[in-house]
Amino acid sequence: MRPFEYAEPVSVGEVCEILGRHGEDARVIAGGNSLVYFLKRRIVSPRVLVTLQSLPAALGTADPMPGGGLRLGALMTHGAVATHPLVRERCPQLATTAANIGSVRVRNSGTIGGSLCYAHPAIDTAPVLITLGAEVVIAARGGTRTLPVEQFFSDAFKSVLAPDELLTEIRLPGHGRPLRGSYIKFVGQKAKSSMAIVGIAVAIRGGDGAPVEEVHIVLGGVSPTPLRARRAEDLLRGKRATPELLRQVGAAAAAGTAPWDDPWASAGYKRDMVEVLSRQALEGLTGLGPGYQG
Amino acid sequence: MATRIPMSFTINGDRYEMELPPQRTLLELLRDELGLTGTKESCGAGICGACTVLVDGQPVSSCIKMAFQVKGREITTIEGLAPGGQLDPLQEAFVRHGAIQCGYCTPGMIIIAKGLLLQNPYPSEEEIYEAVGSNICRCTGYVKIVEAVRAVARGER
Repeated sequence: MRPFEYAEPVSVGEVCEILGRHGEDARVIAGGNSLVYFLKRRIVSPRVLVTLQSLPAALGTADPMPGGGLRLGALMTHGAVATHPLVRERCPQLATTAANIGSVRVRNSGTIGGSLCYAHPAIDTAPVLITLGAEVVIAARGGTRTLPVEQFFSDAFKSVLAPDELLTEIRLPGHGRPLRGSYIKFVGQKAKSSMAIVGIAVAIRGGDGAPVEEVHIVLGGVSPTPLRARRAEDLLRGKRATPELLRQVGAAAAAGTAPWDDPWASAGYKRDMVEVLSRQALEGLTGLGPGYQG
Repeated sequence: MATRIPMSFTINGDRYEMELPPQRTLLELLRDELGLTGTKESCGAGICGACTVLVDGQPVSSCIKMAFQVKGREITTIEGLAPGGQLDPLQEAFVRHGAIQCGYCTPGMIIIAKGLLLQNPYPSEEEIYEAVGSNICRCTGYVKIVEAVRAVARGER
């Protein structure tokens, strides 16, 4: 590890000030699950390392928002997201998703905000957050901005954060009638604690014996950033689900992907799994099948 | 540039006040500064679990944790389970069940199992597998490791 200057700011403003002063030479560390390995291997060698461990406690808590929404501090660990009563009540698919990230060691250290900023193409939480219409709150020297999670990623391992910006919060909107959703993390023959080969997040409103009023399908692991399956959504929106329609929706979801071969799965296999698993997820939510059975 | 920064920790019940370069990992602090070599390094990437320690009772990979990240926290290593040489029930069970082959993964296995039992004294079979299965043993099939953890959870002596 190359030497670095250590900074331990106590406020978000101070973080942004330090980041603004040092630009690309500074990096922030939250849980450190990914970053510490990169520091050791000199894949990244910042001149200044800014630890977030002394920021106000609110950055690590979940709080209710008016209208049934929820705010999650960016420094909540995956383990905290998985077990927080409010998350489990208002957003059970996010709690379940967090509970299946990595190993218990990963969940005890890794944070939801750090994971979003790392921007791995097969990130588990982002597809779920996008199906729920979540936003991120981003602080900078001049103030804060909010952005849909869908617009947060710019490329594999890249977000739209400017050098002086810090992700501080994730906001889940309240819904009049809650979206029902699920996330399938498909790891194939890899260990359960591995990154997904493909991830499929779906959420719908209606669809239980009635037409599907609203549908969101977001895929992980099949493009550089989480991918909204818009054509598949358009096929289903406003219609009553049938086995044949869901087959078409699964095929449309797969057709829109751009996966690549890797040591665990070929591009074609990933596309096939998206087709099958998105169909199964929607069958589960519309009562036409048991859903994904692992 | 500050070359050393003051840090304090509680490690296995003892309080330490030290000045360390910020580049130290928790694993390096334990092994190289304090000589607590029971904690092992294997993959160096936070995957295999050989370096597992408890921070405030929760298992973490010490190889991908910076020492400064655990300032003020309570750290338990395998050495801390046997104060004065009196083995922890988990350690006794690993011995009794022969849950050890080469032994390199053993400290991490015992610590991750300790973390599980601290959170959840009566884990299901699946929960035991999930916990120890996230640490890598390349000698054996985990059966005896799971048997040892199950025996402790059931209070067998």
